[in-house]
Order: sequence, then C-alpha cells, then structure tokens
Amino acid sequence: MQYAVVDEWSRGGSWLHRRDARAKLGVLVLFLLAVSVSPAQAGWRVGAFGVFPLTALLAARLPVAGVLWRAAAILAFTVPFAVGVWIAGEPDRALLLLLKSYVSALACLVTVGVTPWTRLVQAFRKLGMPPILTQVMELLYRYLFLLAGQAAGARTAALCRGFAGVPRFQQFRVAAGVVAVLFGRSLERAGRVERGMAARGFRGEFLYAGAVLWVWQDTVLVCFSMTGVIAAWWVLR
Amino acid sequence: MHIPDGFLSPPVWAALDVVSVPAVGFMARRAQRTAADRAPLLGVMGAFVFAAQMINFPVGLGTSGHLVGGALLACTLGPAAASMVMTAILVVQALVFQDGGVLALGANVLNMALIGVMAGYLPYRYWANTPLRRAGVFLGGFLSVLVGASLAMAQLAASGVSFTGPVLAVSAGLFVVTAVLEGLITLAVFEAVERLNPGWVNTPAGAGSRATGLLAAAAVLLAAVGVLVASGSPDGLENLAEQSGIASRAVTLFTTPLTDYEWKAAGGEWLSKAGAGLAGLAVIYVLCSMMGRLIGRPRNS
Repeated sequence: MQYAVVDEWSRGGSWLHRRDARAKLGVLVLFLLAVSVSPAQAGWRVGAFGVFPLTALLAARLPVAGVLWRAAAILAFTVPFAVGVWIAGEPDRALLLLLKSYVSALACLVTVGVTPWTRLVQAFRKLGMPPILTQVMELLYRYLFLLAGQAAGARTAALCRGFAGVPRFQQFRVAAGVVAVLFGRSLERAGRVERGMAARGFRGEFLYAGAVLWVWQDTVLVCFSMTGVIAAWWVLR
Repeated sequence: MHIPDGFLSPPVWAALDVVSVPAVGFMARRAQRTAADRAPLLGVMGAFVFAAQMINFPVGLGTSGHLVGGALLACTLGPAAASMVMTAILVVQALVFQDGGVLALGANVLNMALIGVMAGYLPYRYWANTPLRRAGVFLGGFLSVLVGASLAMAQLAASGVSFTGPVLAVSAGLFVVTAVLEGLITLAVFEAVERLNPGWVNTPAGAGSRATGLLAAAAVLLAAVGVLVASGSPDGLENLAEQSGIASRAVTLFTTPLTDYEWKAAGGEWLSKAGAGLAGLAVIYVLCSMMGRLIGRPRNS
C-alpha cells in the first residue's frame, strides 16, 4: 500500500533517524515558522528554504525523487487556489503561495520520513498532548492499513458481483451498505482490541520499549538547524 | 477544505492555534469522561473513516464522491469522541499525507473537528427523537461540510488571499454540492448502520423537541439571510442622536472584528453581515449555555 512507504522510510538507521522526535518536531515548527513569516517581497527566493529539507533528505538517505514527488500531493489543493489568486491579479502572491506550501509540505514529509510514528506520538505525549488523543492517533495509524485493505477488498468484491452494471440509485445504496458493514466490522474489531488490551493489563497508557533519551547530538541538531534557519530568514527578509 | 501551510497569515493561524489548543483540551476531557478506556474504539473508528473514504458513491455525470465522516461519527460516537477522532485524523493527514498544514492545524481542527462536528451533531441532537430524525442526519452531514468549508474560505480571506467574484461563486457552488452529497451519503450510511444494528447508533437522552430544533434553524436562517431584507435606516435612538448632534461627539474607545455588525474580513456586504450575525449567534449561544449550566448546577449546602 502506498501509505506504508513513509513507514518504510522511517525505519532507516541514519544519524537523523536516531535523533529524538522532540528535537525533530521543534526544528520542523521553527522551519515552518520561518517560512510562514518570510515577507512577500522575498518572492520566489522563498524557494531557497527548500535547501534545508533537501539536505536532510540526502543526509537521511531517503529516495530523493520519491519524497519530492510525494510532497507534490499538496499541489492538488494549492494549484487551484494559486490560479484563483493569479486570476485576481496577484501572480507574485500566487507563486509565493505555491512555494511556501510545497516547501512546508516537503519539510513535514522529511520529518515524518526520518521518525517512526510511535516515536512521534511519544514525543507529542511528552510535549503535553492529551493522552486520549495520542492513544487514538497511535491506534488509528495501526489499524489504518488493515481497514483500508478491507475497504479495498470490499470494493473489489462489489465490482466482481456486477456493482457497475446496476442502476445508479442502487449503486448508491450498495456503497452505503458496504460502508455500514465496514463500520460494523470496525466496531467488532475495536471490541476485540479493547478486550485484548484489558487482558494484557492496559491501564489507559501505552508503555514503550526502549524509550529514546535526549542526548547531546539532539542539542547539536536543534542549535545547528536553528542557526541555519534564522540566518536564511534574515537574508531573505 | 484542508488548509496547507503558507496560505494563512501568521496572525490568523496563530490566533486559531491559540483558540484550538484549549478547545481540544476541553473536548479531550469530555471524551475521557464519556469514553473512558475506549481509546481502542476511537482509534479503530478513525481508521474506519480513512477506509470509508476509499469507497466511492456515484453521483452522476461520471463523477463520484466519498464520505467525510464528521457528522456520521458524531451521530454514532457522540460529539466529544467524534471531535477527538477527527482531530487525530487531521494530525495524521497533516503529518503523513500532506493533507493540510502543521501550523494551520489549529484552523483545520477548529473548522472540521470542533465546529464542523458540532454543526453536524446539533440537528441530530435536537431531532433524534422526532419524526425529523432523517432530516436531522442529512442536515448534520450538510452543515458539517458547509460550515467547515465556509470557515476555511473566511480564514483565507482574512489572511489576504484575494478571490474574484466568479472564483468565489464557483467555490460557493462547489461547497454546496459537496455538502449536499455529504448529507446524502451520511444519511444512507446511517440508515444502513441502523438496519444492521440499532445499538450502534447513539441516540441522545432527553433530546430537544422538534420546536427547539426548528427555532435553532430559524435563528441561523434569520442571521444568515435576514440581512438581505433588513432596513438600512438607523434605529430610533441613533436617529435622535443624529438629529440632536450628539452622534458627531461619539468617541470609539476600541474596535472589534465585528464592529457595526459587519465582519470586514469576510469580503462582500452580505457575507460580512451574515458572518457577523452567525458569529454573534454562536457567541450568545455559548454564553447562555454556560450561564444555564452555572445556574442549574446543584449546590453543596
């Protein structure tokens, strides 16, 4: 499944992969902040911020073309808006919107590509996110692939049984029925997961094996990145 | 509807992040109270929404749509749990699927997971035990998308993203079509779920009467459309102040985004007045609800 690609990237062993997720999230937020507050006069030069995620991409030994292509998914939303702004008579602003959104999405993708999901959620928890939200995020990600596979299977089964040939109104009802069955199966699965977790002594909080501790290399990453990003913002200002 | 990073101006995304953080905290506490030890259920239902989005519903003209899910979750899990699931979905979408931004997460959470879910839940909340139940589910799905999309457009406009009249009209048309589609899909899935097992549907205890629901709908309609037929002349007191010359000596101590019953950032005259009306309605509803709870709370003697 295409979603699993990012998961595969995040299991690498580079220096960046081994850093604390909190450090990487901090750097990401700082980077996004710098891109966001860069002035409109900077114009196309905002694209220079792309050097940072590209450097990280190469350092983490992630597939460059794959990551750049995947980050382009953001353009599906931004291009129509940029065209609207262009038509409204602001071509410079349209270009700025495209560049800012693409560079931001690229930075986000690189961060997730070098950090396993469990580590990210762990970092969110340590940064004060409500436990119920982090648990939901963790379980959502875990069962996402499984249920998406089931949905794809249900769709194939419906097509095999002549779904495409029935009248449109009937198709609508069949699709609703497929979603309802998926809903029921999800509820049953949730019940089994709940009982399984209770049987294993779940007390409302996940326990992680081999927690990552903040080490001096994380401080180096934060300081180095902060200096670079602030310097870039200063030059472009 | 997912706003990416780079589209909202720093004051707008920062303000919306500041509003969203405590709001999510509040909903998390409510969800913890009402759905304690049910994290597996919420997590799996979040995955269900992702999976359900893969199933296309034919809508004619060679196109198809899919479920967004906020209203369906609110009608089955309750609003607090649905807000948590939608927030988790938005975080995963922003980080893993590049659908929506990280700095814009506050805006997206507010539009879709908080206000969108509440807008999707309220008609069902009031009409669940009345003959208008089906209409409530449809209206919930419709409003959850329309309110979220309208808020996103307003936030983009407040950030200085300019839209020409035709672009705005096309966007509004698309939003209405998408909202109707979401209403129909939500209703179809809701009925199918109820047929499979009525126990899977959350029927609010002591749900409001049909009259309360109609009153709420009338208030929203009046705030949004009433400005089109409202008189532009000053009221009696303003008229008197103008004629006696007092009005010219009036001093404005401070201004708010809704000064003169107009939300300037919204753009056109109708949009700015309707936006201000709806915002005022929401503020008054929240304040009255809080006061009602405060007054109605049992006291320890």
